Amino acid sequence: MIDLEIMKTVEALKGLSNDQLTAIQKCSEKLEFSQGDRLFSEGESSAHLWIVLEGKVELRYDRPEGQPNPIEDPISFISKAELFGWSSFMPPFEYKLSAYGASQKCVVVKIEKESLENLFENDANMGFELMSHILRVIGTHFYQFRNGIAKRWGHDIMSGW
Amino acid sequence: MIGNDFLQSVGIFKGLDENQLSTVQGCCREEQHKAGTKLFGEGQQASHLYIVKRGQVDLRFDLPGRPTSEKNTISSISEFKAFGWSSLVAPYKYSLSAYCAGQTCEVVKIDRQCLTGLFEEDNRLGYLVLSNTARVIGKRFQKIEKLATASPVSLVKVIVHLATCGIVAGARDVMNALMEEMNRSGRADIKVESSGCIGQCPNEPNVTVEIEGEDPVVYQKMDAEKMRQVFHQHVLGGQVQTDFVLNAQ
Repeated sequence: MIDLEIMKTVEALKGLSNDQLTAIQKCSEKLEFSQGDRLFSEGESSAHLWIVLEGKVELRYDRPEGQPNPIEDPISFISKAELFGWSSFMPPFEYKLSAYGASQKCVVVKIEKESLENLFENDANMGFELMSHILRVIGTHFYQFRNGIAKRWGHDIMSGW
Repeated sequence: MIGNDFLQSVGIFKGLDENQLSTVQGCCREEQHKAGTKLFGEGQQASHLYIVKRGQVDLRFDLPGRPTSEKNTISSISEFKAFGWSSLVAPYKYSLSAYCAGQTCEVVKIDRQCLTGLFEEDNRLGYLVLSNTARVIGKRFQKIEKLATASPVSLVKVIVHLATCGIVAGARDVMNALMEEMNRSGRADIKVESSGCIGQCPNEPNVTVEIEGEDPVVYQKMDAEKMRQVFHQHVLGGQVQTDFVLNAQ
């Protein structure tokens, strides 16, 4: 069981009441990984939202040999209290990157997306608070992605689209 | 006047009831624009969410100091579709520029402050619109990702020499094998071309691989199996398959 006090430190869950956090607790699972362990792979069905409780998680492209990455340097590290796996809320509902444990010990919370959506249906306030946060994360990634493309292609090449 | 019927058909408002749609109406304003008009620019404060009522709007990737170009269109937004989602997501700056395409455009402009005020008053409305917005962004993400993996300039070109002599020697099988491997690889950036005879009839079918920055390599006496090997080892892996290279001395 995940401690409520720990859940309160998670940025995405900060606006929620104890009752709401308890409801999320019930559809969550606490997991521990070691450095290099794979949490999920790019292209897999994204059925969970994840939160780092301890250590770090690395997100990176993991494409088959010969397939290019959409942008260079896609590696990002997710630290304590941060959320990832946001592609579970947008089509095609597949993880865009692969996730690996990036510290000796890496403790994460895995939240079932379907159960979470059921909670949102019954508690619009929770849905609104959490979706606002998720959308902020998605928006940030969209900007980063857009800027990554600009960097990769270079302005001259891009004007030749 | 914007009616509930119209708003109901817009994906971003899917699931809203009549009362909620009526409150959204209060935040809407209609505008008409001529072809080529810039509705907003990338980086500008995103004060409105938009819906196309009539016509088409192009979202473009404009570059600083350069004129806009249709070639830089990331997405064309058709009727009943929303754009300008940056107005609902911090830092509230448009990530692309929007231009009226076609003859004229009629758009519905929704004031961000008014709409987010409704979200605060009615969290269910907020939740539904934000969930639908995530879906819109997802689709746009897919488009931009697809464009990103396709290089604007083909750095790799594979030419199958398909003159009559080449076809007689089996060049069509070679081309078919190449296309199968291309489809499997998902490498939209690699260009495939057909071309005429290069004067090496006894050594056909011939295939030329051109990789930017390297000398072109001409392969001889190709068949489907050799083509697959060249595609994987040379085109994708960078290793010239010397056993099949034409020695044109």
